[in-house]
Amino acid sequence: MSKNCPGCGAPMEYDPSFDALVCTSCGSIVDPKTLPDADSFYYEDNSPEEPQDIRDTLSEFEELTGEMYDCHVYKCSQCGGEVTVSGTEISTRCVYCGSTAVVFSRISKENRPDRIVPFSITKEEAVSLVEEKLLSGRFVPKRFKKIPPECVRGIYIPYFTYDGEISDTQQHRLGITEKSYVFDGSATFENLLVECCSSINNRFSALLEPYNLKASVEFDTSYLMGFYSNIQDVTPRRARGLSELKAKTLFQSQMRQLTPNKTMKTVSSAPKITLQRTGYVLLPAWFITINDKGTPYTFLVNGQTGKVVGTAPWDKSTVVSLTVGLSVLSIAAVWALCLSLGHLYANHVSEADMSDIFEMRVLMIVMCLAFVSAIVAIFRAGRKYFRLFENRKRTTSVTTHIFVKKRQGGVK
Amino acid sequence: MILVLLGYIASIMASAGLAFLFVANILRISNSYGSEGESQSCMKKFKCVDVDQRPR
Repeated sequence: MSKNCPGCGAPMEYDPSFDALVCTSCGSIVDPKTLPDADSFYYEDNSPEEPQDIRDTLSEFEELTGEMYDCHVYKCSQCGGEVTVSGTEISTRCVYCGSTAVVFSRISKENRPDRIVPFSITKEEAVSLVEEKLLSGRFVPKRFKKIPPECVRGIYIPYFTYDGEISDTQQHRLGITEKSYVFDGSATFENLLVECCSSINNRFSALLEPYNLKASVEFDTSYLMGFYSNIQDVTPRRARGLSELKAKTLFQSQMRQLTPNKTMKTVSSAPKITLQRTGYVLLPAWFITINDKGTPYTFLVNGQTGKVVGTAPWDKSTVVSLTVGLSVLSIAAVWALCLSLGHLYANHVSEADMSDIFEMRVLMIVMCLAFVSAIVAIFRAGRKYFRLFENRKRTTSVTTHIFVKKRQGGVK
Repeated sequence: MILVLLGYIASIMASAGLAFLFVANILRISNSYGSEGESQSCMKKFKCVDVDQRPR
């Protein structure tokens, strides 16, 4: 089902720049709230648009392959074409006519979101943000500088919100000493967001935060027009577990920042958490996928604030040549410094004394300093590279790619 | 002589390490976006005291 223009009858789509529905044919702008009976058929059972399990559409000679699993066939209300939707999609696009299709029967009483944060960032803005921030980097290969429009999809992600409190008594120990410190901490949570779509990596979607929930509005399917969306598909038990884990992680990271010494080890911790689910909200995100020699890179843009998440690919030869070039330069600089120091000492001491003073003392000091700085620099660089590779792994996640790729071909 | 050789090795290691760190920093700044921990805005009334009651 899609929402049609009251003037010409063509499908309408939600446009963030107008905060209204815009007709794809005549360009009429309509306030979503003025459309009659927008939500009247939410709770209808046995709706004619109920997606049909794909297994029911196969003939007796056809078999269900792994790729077809969890797919449903939905008939487009505009052209009658058969659209395949996954088990949790509530809005998609018809692959034949491109009109928005909302599977209303999926938005049952239990699954109906309470609120929605509409897209504020347009597709063009999302693309330019990624091009400007991520793809303009020095090491990004030239073939990535432009994003093809067919790679961009606006998707509403389902989240649960939780309120509650946490308290903990933590014992920390400094290094190998017996000296320990005990801290009592407590905090409350308001609108703790827990992503409840099993197809997306929770850590990746958490990077999209923060969202301003004060800008949320009561859920209306008009905001789904022109975008893709999913309903929640995690069990209450899993959602509860995720919320407690997130609350604990946030709280412990805050506690950690306040401990007097960062090298302290936590030796005991027993957090008490009480969280209550307060809402179910759909939050907007742009998913931008680019392929690099068979590896998909999916960048995310917060559809409300424009925050960009992702790690762009880098040109290995440029990185290696720059590292080698800088190494050679700094080696030359260090040796030049050593030589000039040697000459300085040579001018002030006699030939006989020089070996004692220069070779033994100066060289020992320089050598120790060099070794220490080498170890520290290599260790810190290693940590940075490890994080960088971890971030790139999230950006190239096959799960996220499949989540985006499954959508129909039409684009906003 | 051994000391001089060790000095050379140490300086090469330090230079390479610093170059490695410098490039890693540029890469992280220019190629990676999306910092963690920004969801802490949902945490309110945070309090932390140590056992001898010194507020931190």
